[in-house]
Amino acid sequence: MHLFPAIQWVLTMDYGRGVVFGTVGVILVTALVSGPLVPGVALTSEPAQQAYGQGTATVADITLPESATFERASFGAENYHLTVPATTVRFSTLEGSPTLSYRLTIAGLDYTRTTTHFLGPSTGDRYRLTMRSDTFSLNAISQSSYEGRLSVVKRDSSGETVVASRNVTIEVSG
Amino acid sequence: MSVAESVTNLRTDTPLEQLRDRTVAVLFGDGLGLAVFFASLCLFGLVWRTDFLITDSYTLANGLYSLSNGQLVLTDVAYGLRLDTPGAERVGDALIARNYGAIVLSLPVWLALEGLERAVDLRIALVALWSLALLALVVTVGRHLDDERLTVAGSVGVLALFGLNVALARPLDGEMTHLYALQLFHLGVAAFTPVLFYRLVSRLHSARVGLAGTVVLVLGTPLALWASVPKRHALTATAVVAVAYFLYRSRTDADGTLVGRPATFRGLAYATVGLYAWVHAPEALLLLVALAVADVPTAPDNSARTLAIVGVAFALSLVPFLVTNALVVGSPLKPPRLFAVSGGGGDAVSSAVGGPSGGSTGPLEPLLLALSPFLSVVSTFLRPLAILAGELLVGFESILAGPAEIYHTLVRSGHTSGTLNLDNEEAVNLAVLESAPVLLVAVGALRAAQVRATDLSLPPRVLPATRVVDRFALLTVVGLTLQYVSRLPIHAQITVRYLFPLFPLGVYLVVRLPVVRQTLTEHWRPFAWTVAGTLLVGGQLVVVVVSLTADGLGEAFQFHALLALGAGIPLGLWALAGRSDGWAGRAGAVLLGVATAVPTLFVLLVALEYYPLGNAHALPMVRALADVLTLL
Repeated sequence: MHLFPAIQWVLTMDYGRGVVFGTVGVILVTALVSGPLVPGVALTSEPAQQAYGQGTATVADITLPESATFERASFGAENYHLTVPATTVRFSTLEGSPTLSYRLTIAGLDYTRTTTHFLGPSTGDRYRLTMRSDTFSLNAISQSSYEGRLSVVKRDSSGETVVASRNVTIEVSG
Repeated sequence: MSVAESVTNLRTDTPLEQLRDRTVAVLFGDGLGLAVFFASLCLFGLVWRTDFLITDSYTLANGLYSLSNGQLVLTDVAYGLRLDTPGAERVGDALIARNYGAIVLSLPVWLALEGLERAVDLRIALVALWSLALLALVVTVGRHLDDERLTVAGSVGVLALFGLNVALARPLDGEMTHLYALQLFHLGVAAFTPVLFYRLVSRLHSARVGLAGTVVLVLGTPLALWASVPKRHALTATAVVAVAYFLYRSRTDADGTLVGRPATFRGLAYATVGLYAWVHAPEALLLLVALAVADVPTAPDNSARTLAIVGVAFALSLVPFLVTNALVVGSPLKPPRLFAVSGGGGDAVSSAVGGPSGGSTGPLEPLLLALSPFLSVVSTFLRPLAILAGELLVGFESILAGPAEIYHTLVRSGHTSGTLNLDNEEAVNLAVLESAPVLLVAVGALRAAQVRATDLSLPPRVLPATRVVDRFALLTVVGLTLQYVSRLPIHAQITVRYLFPLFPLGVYLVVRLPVVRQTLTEHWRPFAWTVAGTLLVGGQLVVVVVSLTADGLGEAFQFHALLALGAGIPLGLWALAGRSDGWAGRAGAVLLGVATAVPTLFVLLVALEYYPLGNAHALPMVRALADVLTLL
């Protein structure tokens, strides 16, 4: 009876305790297995490094917006936010992992902003191309509007190609 | 007696479980205190990012790196780009770090991490630690409620979360263990802020008020945001609450498991201050003055024996601080950054520290010369006090000179030079009330003061336990504000972290208001439901509003600021009305719940979206959420 206290303890253990100790056991064993003591098991792995800008993409249709805005920030933050409307791109072919860059250049402010999108198998035929907004201090913006140029640049195995570009007016509002 | 009960009784009698119960009683008070500890750890772990939030942490990380190589001075740029990061100070040819107490005490954590890395994948180790803390929370709550089904269901849930985290896990950079050790140390100490707060308030009033007040502290202030940041703020918060707790116990009947004499608790209060000096001496000095002023004149017993106990405890607690200073600077009483000031009136004060004391001439000179060894000892001790007095005076003058600055620090940050970040001019530094709107309840104190003003009698010389803690809290809040106000608001403070003790002490003073206490006692259900509802439903609304309306960090921060003030102002008005009965009480509970939950939403979004630090979240599931969430 007293020879195997551990076994006896486990046998008399109630259901709740069993679940708790089982959970602790699973966590500890998993942790030990993950480490260098157990070779050949890797529980953590870096995401597969993909070479972007490879493959092919053919853009069937894209319409760039006519205007963008410098909008006054709300909630008492005294800034302007540059907001460029998103545009939708339709692909006729998309293979591999090409990139698509949405770019705005404002010559009068000596300013360029580019948001690069990494495309892949999950992209689909239609893709919503966005540009992240940017913040300007109040005194950086002095005119009521600026002239800029929007462009979309594709990068795939055949190199860099300007897919579309147009002049835009950036209105200052607020 | 049923069979099951007799088995339970047998179990509690085993020596191991007796030891466990005693340990819980000494460290956490009771089962609920233990639950508070694990819950805090889990929340802090949730928002922990394994990277640098503020540049000041580089100084500590490089300090720990040097110490792990046996050097007290900074040797290599292991972290960051340079050694002279904020807070590093030049002594002779060498640069020294700051907050040596935190660095030295993080060393065992670093050793443990290094050992762990030999056996376990570091990321899985962190995930396992977090999962075990969550499991411990489940078991503690299950035991408290005596609900086995909860324990079982909770364990299964923990296992599921563990599996999810392991499935999403990516390797953790094994080169940055010094940073992780510092973060784990700060996080662990920070979890004792709510534990000590719970123990204090549950002794003062009831376990229910204690627990509800702790919820207000943990969720209603930016504690979780700073818990894992290697900078003194989390430690300061724990230190002030510990002092308050020990001070309270020093004036109540001793019923401690380990400590049986009130005088010992009094000694522990001073010892906490002394130990904190090892981390940040100027604030420790302020705490010492606040403690002494609140305690000594009002103590029931100032006999030589009691004062000797207190003095010995304080002297012993100063030993690590004095030894470190002697080793680092060569003088025990000239600590690194004794007067840690950046800009403002402080710099002038700081330069005065280093200079020689003014020479004295006249007929007294021979006498002074004879007494000079004695005088130099006295002046060594008095000089820090004089400098502290100077700092408080500068603070007072700066409030008179520029009331707008203190308004931007305490009430509304807005778009002013002090609240902007350094590079792209966005208003990303919130004021105190914007960070913890529940403190707006403080206006209710006006009513309480009005009631008290009708009672014209002087307070008795000997103050009871509650009153002396109130006095210590008030003195510390005012003193600390004066100490820092001339330099505030300042960039990179996010939530006025320099005044961090205002959050725990402020929540303490809020809970001390009778109207809040009664409301939390009688209407704790609407309070709890409002907190949960605001987090779960309001949280989604906040995410939608931020993603639709805010384009930049400054705009998002100012939205949170206005949201917090919007939650706090009705609460303040309710506190001013001062009614806790009937519908007014229920409304108060709801307002308290909203003001408690709103800062948590801010903290969660800071971790997920505003400052994700390259999505360096410790928990893979949080990183995965941050990966898909794009609001700005």
